[in-house]
Amino acid sequence: MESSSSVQETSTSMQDTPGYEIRGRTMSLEEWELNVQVESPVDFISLAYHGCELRDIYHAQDLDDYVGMLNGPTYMNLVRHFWVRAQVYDRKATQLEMDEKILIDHSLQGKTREEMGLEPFRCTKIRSSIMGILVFIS
Amino acid sequence: MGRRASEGRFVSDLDNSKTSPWNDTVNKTMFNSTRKEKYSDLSMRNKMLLKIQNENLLPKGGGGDQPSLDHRVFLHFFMTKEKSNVPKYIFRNMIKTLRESQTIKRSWIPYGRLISEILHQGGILNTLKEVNIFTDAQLGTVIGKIINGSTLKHMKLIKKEDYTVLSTDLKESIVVSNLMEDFPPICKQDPVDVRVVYIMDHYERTGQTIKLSDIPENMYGGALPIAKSRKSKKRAMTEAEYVEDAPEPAPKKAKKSKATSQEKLVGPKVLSIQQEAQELDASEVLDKRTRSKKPADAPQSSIPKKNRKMTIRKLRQASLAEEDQEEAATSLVTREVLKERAE
Repeated sequence: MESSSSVQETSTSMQDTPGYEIRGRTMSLEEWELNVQVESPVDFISLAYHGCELRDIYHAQDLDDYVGMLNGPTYMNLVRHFWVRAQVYDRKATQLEMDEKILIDHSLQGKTREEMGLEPFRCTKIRSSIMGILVFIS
Repeated sequence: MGRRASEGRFVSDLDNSKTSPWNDTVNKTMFNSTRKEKYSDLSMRNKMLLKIQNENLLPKGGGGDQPSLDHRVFLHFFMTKEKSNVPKYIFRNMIKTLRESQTIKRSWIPYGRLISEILHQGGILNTLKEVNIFTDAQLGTVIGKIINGSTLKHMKLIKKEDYTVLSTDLKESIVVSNLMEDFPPICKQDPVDVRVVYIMDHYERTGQTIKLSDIPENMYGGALPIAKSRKSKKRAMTEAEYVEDAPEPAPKKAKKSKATSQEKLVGPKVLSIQQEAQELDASEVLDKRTRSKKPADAPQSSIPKKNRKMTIRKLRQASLAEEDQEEAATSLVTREVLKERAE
């Protein structure tokens, strides 16, 4: 079952090349000029022992997974690579995309995104490429 | 981020004006007072909350003791345990900094760990590890500094002697987290029946349903991206890194540089000794250096003409002599053979 899905995946990714495009840089900053701020893992047990109990607060915000995740490796170079190619993909960007299509082909005027061969706009995303697009749901 | 649902309250883009109705609410929770107090008036717990917020949730780069109203409202949600839309806050903050990087060249990336984790969950790291071309050093692997009792000590919130190291203290971990079990290996580009069958199958195996909204639009980590990621990564490496990566060319370069340095050292010395003498080129200098040990190895041009003629003559004579001897020997042999035949 899984094999069938992966076969399908390669074939679709061939058709849908934009999913795997190598993106251009979106800023004039170079990778090595960027400072990555790494989040600090929090040791709640140690804090609680020293009279600073915070677990309930993060639990109330349903952030247990998030703070647990913080203690792990950060790949600075990958992050920089991602960042210089990142692009905010919001409603404005999709409008631009549509305008471009219409400029090339006037008959597309007034048609929906799907009819223009663009993917439908679902939510604002940050798009970048190390391999393809990265989706955030806000 | 795990599967934290994007829900809760979100208040943003508040100006810092003193007339905002939020001021009262926030001051009430932060300082239990009607007016804004100083950072030093915060309780230990609230200082710590603010620190964690500045480090992990809404990093703003720069000092953290004067939070903006947005930050204070966010803190207010935490303190009152009113559920706030943390993912939205994080995402908005990320977009804001990204725009700043693009427009005003702000050279700062927040959420390094979060982005790394997302890349990891997307399967990128596994593919990179599989092809085994990148070491941790090349990926620039780092781990954040842990906030614990020691931080409290540094922030002077507890006395030095009150701080104890616990056996349960968190250690920095470079162990990559397990891939999310429910990260579905299907994408929206799979045909509907494939998706349906997978979701059914997953439900039968684990008893969990995969929401359609959880399915990524594109598949990460397939065969195609490996090649691309290699290429794009190579381009990103600096030349120095690249040279470091390939061990073979490096020693060659070293040898060359040694040789040239020797030449440079020898050159001027000889010139200073033999001032105004015949112009020497590097090869002659080098030959002279070696002559005392191995004159035979030196190329012919460096031997004076007379000597050369002499040696050639000697060699010829020697070879002639050898030939003579050989002839003599062969003639001896033939003579003896003839003798034998005669007998």
